[in-house]
Amino acid sequence: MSKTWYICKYTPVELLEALGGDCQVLDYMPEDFELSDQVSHPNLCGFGKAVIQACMEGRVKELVLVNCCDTIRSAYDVLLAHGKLDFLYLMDMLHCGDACAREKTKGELLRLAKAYADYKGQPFQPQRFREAFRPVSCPSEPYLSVLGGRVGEELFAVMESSMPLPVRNDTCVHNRSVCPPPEDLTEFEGLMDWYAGELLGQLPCMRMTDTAGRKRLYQDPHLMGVIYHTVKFCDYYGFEYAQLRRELDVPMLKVESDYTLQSSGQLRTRLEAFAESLAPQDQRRGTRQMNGNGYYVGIDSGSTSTDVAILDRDRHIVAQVILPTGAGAAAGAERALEQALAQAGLKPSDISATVTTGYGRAAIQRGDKSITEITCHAKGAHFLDPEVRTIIDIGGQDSKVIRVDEQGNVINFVMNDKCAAGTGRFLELMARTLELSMDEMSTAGLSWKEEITISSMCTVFAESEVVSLVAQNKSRADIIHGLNESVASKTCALCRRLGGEPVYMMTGGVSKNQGVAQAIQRRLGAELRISQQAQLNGALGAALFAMELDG
Amino acid sequence: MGEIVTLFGEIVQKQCHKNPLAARRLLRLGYRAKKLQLMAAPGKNTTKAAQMAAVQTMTSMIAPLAHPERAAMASLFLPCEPLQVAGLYPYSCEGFGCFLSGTQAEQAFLRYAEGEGLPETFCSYHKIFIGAAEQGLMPKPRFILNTTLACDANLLTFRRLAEYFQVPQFVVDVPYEPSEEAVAYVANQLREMVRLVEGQIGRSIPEDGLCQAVARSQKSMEQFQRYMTLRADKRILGELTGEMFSAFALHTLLGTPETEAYTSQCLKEIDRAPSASGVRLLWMHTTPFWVEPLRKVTDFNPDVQVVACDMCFEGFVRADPSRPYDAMARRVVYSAFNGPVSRRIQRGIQAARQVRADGVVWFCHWGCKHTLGGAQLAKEQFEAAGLPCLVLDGDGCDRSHGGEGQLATRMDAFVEMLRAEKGERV
Ligand code: SF4
Ligand code: SF4
Ligand code: SF4
Repeated sequence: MSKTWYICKYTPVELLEALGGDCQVLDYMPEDFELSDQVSHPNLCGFGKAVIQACMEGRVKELVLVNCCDTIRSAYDVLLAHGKLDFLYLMDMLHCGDACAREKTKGELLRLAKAYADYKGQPFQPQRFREAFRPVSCPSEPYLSVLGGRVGEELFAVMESSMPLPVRNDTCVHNRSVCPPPEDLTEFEGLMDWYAGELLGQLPCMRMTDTAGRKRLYQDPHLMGVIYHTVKFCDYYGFEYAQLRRELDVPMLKVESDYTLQSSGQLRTRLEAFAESLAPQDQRRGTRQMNGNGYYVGIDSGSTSTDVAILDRDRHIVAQVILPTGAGAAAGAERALEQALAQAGLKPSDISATVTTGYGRAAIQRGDKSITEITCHAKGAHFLDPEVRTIIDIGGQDSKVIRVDEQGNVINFVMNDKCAAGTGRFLELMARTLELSMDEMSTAGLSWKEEITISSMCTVFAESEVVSLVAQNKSRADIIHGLNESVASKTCALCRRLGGEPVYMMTGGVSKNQGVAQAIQRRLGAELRISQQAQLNGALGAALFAMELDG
Repeated sequence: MGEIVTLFGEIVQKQCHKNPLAARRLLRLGYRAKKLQLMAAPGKNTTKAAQMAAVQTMTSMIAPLAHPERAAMASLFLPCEPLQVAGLYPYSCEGFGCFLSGTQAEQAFLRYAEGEGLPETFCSYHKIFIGAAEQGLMPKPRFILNTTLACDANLLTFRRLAEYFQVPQFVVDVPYEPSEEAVAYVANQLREMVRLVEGQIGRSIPEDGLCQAVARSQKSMEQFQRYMTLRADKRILGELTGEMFSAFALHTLLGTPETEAYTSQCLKEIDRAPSASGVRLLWMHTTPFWVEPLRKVTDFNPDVQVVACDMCFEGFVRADPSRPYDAMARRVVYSAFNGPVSRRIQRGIQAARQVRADGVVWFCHWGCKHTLGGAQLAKEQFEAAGLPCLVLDGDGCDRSHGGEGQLATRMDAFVEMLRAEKGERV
């Protein structure tokens, strides 16, 4: 028997089952959106594209949609024209739950019931209707909640596997809660009237006018933390996130995905870092007894450079090495480690513990443990300067802002790795356009005279803006100043999003660019500390964790 | 002039941070100056009708800044006749977004909204509006009234601002299926909305005044319809932004004597206009305020003209003004923006034939899912109807999304293609 797929918790699933349907939530995460992009626009939300993709791939033959949002309405339009489905239905849902809306919803239920019964050729079976209601579970022990825009199976599995506590999927369709009808209600119209009220009375989602009831989701006493997920190009849930940022008193991590399988993998680092910040420090301490002579190694395998730091038992840095990563993370790490050992005059057997971090950490076999660069950066920065509360790290490929507490634990962080704007890569491209070296870029903007705004955020457009500024005979210093300001503004927006507080420290390759650092400092209106060892931060943090491993 | 605008925009943005009141005053002054300029020296090519629409819109933007206690924040598609009759000043969020971007005062507000954690992919008209409101540029309105029509952004922006300003909000929930039942449902909500407004201002809105206003609305729509039909054989030169002024006149200001006068003037001018010439375009959706190279293609150009825009006529319906609530509800329920996108496309095809357009531009404003979601279908269906269609991706008001050059190139190529089709020289 073919399945009837649905996407929304307001779908009358029990009614469809009573009419002979076999219903399942459509959560499919495709590899890409090739077929969807052929018939619609790439800027629909990822989930909407996944729905279209699933239908175009022929996986879905029966689909009941709800008039949830502009994207779903568009998906319906597109599928109506191109979908080749056996059964496609869009149910209209109003935005409030008052008596009039209930009346209209009942009408919608009757309309759908008729269309579906005609399609299936089966009458309404009251007994099946009652049996279709599933019990609703309530949390009874400490848990983490995934809130926001819908999270598909694969991504949820990644979340579950990386968190130290049980995780509940409270997103969108997954927090459906409808209870069975009263025993004495048997006649169909009466049942549908009750059912309309029951469906509308669920915990509201963000498309409803009155969303006050959503507080229940984050005021549960067992709630220990929130992973807030948004789907790229979805508008509803970003608004709730903006509100929770101010109101929530448990830790929260914001992640965004585009609903492809690939994006679930990319989020792993962030999820792991969040998990690390939830586990109390001392749980990590002294997990095993180490051999060696009390030297601790941290290896930070980044996309451009591999850094190694070695500490002795008294937390002195005895070696520090920064090498280009080269072709492979593992080989790069071996080379860097060899050099570091040579620098300190140590043998491999002197090492008591090793911790790896950075993008390439998974590829490195060596090491007793691997910890995300976010947690390690926080640790390293705290070691270099215990007063630091906010770390601004701009590397070649990404930029991140991390907030730390007095102990160097991560309180919160944001990362931008989706687009080049606001990263070292952006500056490199612009330097190439202006035919300057990175060192020249660093200072050339300091002597600016005229304020030029580079308004494009997109790297490609910004480049053509720069070209036309050059053509207009604008001075290099002014253009570079404009570019520095553009990076600074993007960075400070991240910082503001996180509620950054002084003391600020800047790390990463771009911290060596004086123009950018000064622009950021001006925008923050606070001192920005740059340590000589800023680039070694991640490796230092890893080495410190290695030391903690040694009980 | 360009430089002065930039400077002005910058001052407004900077001031707003430190002293929102001063920024507000400055903005008001700026708009007044612009209005005076429009009245005194509208530019030698501007028609009287276009000037009227521009001045009326400017006036409606100044009023809420000067008299916030009588201001009602509204969505573009909300029927505003009851508010006008009550002597209130409705102003639309999309309109304000447009205007701030027209004065180049938008970037700081956009960045603020994004810094707040709002989605980067959210409609930029709304982002600017939220930024300007929460940065203090816009005064606290008396209340907030909106429909759910056209897009989800309405739901989100107005809910957030009602909480921010702590003012009453009323949402007119428009059912997806256009039907008589839906008209009755919306009419009831409009009655309820009026009761809320009456309760707030402490006096009632006279029914006969409302009937008169709705009669003016119907008359204005009919006149504009006629104008569109007559325009098929005529040439009227104008500006791309003029279409937006016209859209504001025919929405937020619909029902005022000024809008009626504007449509009468349109009819007068069309009589005297010379015969049609050049490439004629139907524009679907909002028009970008800031893309200079694009405006060079379309503005005051005898060879290329935008002859109609669906933002103006999307809600035209026949209705009985003696049943004002029914008439107002009919406009939103049967709006081409309601229901499946094919309704909007069909309405476009009909209008294109009415005004004799040679081609259609479907403008996908960044983040406007309704428009971009239907883009492919629009292209297919317009072309099946014999109307070449250009899908143009851009941003109606956020300069940082860039791509001016690309926009203009595609537009130029489209026009060249249409010209070749008409057998004209490229
Ligand atoms: S956001 Fe709400 S209306 Fe939309 S699919 Fe999810 S549960 Fe349904
Ligand atoms: S993720 Fe957001 S935009 Fe996408 S279907 Fe769900 S509610 Fe709509
Ligand atoms: S441009 Fe689109 S998303 Fe923005 S307000 Fe208009 S209809 Fe809504």
